[in-house]
Amino acid sequence: MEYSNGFPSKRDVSLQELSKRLDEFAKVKGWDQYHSPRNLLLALVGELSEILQWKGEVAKGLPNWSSDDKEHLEEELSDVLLYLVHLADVCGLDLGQAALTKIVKNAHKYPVTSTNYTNNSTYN
Amino acid sequence: MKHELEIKTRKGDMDCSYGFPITRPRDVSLQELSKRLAEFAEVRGWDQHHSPRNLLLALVGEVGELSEIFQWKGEVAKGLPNWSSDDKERLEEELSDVLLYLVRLADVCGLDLGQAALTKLVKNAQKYPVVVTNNTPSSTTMN
Repeated sequence: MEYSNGFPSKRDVSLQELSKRLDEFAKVKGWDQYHSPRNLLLALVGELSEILQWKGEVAKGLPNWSSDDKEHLEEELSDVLLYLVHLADVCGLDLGQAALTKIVKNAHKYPVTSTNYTNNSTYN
Repeated sequence: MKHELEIKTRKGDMDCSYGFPITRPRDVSLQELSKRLAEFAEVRGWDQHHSPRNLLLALVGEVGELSEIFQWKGEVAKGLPNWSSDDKERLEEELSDVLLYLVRLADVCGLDLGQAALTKLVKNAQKYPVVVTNNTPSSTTMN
């Protein structure tokens, strides 16, 4: 498994691509009937419960983690993402657009102030 | 920096319509979200607080808020018929918050979330092959 830390990603991935593939997946397997909003939400919650459990504090970039542990974490985070994308879809919402909108709102809500600079050691 | 951020934010707004019909929202990539979040945290001096476990707990908190929206609604049909615009908008915000923390968490762990998700989709397709008689998702055995 190739990790992206310090390496260029193989290629970018869009939310619509994931959405389309999940929709196909659910349909061909006859699972559509079970993918109600509340079912998907509960599935998402279930996937969250084991992430980083028993690890103690973890440094950025996961130094000293084995490849297997990193791969396991990637799978767990992927499952959360896939359920989230599918949940937004069955609710008829555009998650990508909503996320961009939220980033803009957050930028207005938390404007950059001169106080921030003094706390940011990387700021020139 | 503030001025540059504002310009970039406005450009982001323009990106929402440039090159696409107004009625067709443009696609959004995980790397774009990732880049914007990294910049957001950096210019506000928040990077120092964005450890993996801090971000995970923030993510769990947002899933709690997401759950609140569905909490007393009973079963909900696909497409959310009869939901008000306000309720739908709040849902979009909570789903967005979960996504943004998830993207940021993967980043600070040094993982490529988009690639990992594609890999997981392939694994799932192999793990759950299409079977004519398969009609329940909870089946743990395949014929």
